[in-house]
Amino acid sequence: MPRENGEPFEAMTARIARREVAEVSYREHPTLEMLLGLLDGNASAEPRDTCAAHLALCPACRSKLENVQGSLSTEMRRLKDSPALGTLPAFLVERHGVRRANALGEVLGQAAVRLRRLLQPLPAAVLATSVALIAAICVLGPPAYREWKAGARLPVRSAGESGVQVKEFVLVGVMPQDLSAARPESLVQAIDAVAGSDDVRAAATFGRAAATILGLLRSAGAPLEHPSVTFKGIRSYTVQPGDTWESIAQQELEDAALWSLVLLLNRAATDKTGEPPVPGMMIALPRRSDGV
Amino acid sequence: MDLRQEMQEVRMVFWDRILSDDPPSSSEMNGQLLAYSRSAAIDERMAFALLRACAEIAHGGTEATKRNLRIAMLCWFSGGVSRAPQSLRHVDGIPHIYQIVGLNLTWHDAARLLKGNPDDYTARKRLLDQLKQACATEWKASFDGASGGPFEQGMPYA
Repeated sequence: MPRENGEPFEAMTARIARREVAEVSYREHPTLEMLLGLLDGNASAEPRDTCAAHLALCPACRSKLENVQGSLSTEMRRLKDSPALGTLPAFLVERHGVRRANALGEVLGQAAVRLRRLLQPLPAAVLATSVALIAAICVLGPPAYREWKAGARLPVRSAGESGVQVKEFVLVGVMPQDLSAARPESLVQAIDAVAGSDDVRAAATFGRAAATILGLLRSAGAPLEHPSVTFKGIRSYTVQPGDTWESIAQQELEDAALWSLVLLLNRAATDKTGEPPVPGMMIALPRRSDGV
Repeated sequence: MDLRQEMQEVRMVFWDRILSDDPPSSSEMNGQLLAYSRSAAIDERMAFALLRACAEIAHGGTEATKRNLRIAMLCWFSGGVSRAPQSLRHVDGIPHIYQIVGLNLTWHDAARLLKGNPDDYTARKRLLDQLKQACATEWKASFDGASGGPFEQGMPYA
């Protein structure tokens, strides 16, 4: 072999590798879902490989991923240290009961649709006034409000109880929405508060937070509990014409009562509270441990 | 992102696959990189030849050689801008390249990470000899060279 007259081979390989991981200027970066998919190990080979390659060349995304991992570890420790809290679906069932959980989904849907129709054409100032007015009405607990709530099939509550809920609803409005700040405790508050509130923003916040927590559980490989079945992982489903949340739950999970869980899982993606899923849209479904 | 950066990203996918014990085939690498590399600067050609040589060893080497190759790759790719080794907290098994960039791992560190013998420095020398020869062969095959180019003759110091 000819004698080397320059850079030694080992130094050469290290130099080539350093150049290989030199930063690249990207216009597009992986979404949070893609990063979670990479951590989850559920992503298929090509997006996973591309995402990993991107991370090797993009310090900003590496930093973002490390933050997500840090948050995830913290959340998982918190969940582990809070045995009473359990996972979200179990919590929903335990705290609100399956019927109440369904009613929760229903009231979110009805309230969102009603308020959206009512308030959409109005400017922000009028919206704010309307919300304040609704809050005042709720605090006073007039018969009309109770009637509306009865129409939404929520359990009858006293006027005083409604007042407490309105305060909580304000809390929900400022609940942190980003991944690093979402806490199971705040989610608990949100669930309680949204169960009695009628605000689109609160519903959307709740949906995002729920999806976030479910995402964290999913990323950590924690099974989602349900009284009758255990969920392990997530799978996708393309919505067919005529599908409703309930029919999807019945058809794909063999339990129509799980429709609220399906809605929760996809609320962040659809942001169409209570409205039927759009045909052609890909949604997430829990994968049951028994293969369904 | 220009063509050079795109090719850099394609190579990175392949590097990561070699590290993850899923080395790309020659046809995959040639299909995506050869035409570009033939007309590219010498550094790009060297990166291509080294990639092919590593993939070749990853395909045909013994288990010990493959592990030593991964150890060497961890050392190479962990060089550069320093950062805190926090990303390794989450690593279970063979890390991706993005997880070790900037950690400046030594052979000893990398061998421990991959559960190899950290004190077997002869393994390092054996691997480098084998790799150097493979690089020269790939250079000849890919770029129609009469010799192994910079891998035999060495690059002048910058």
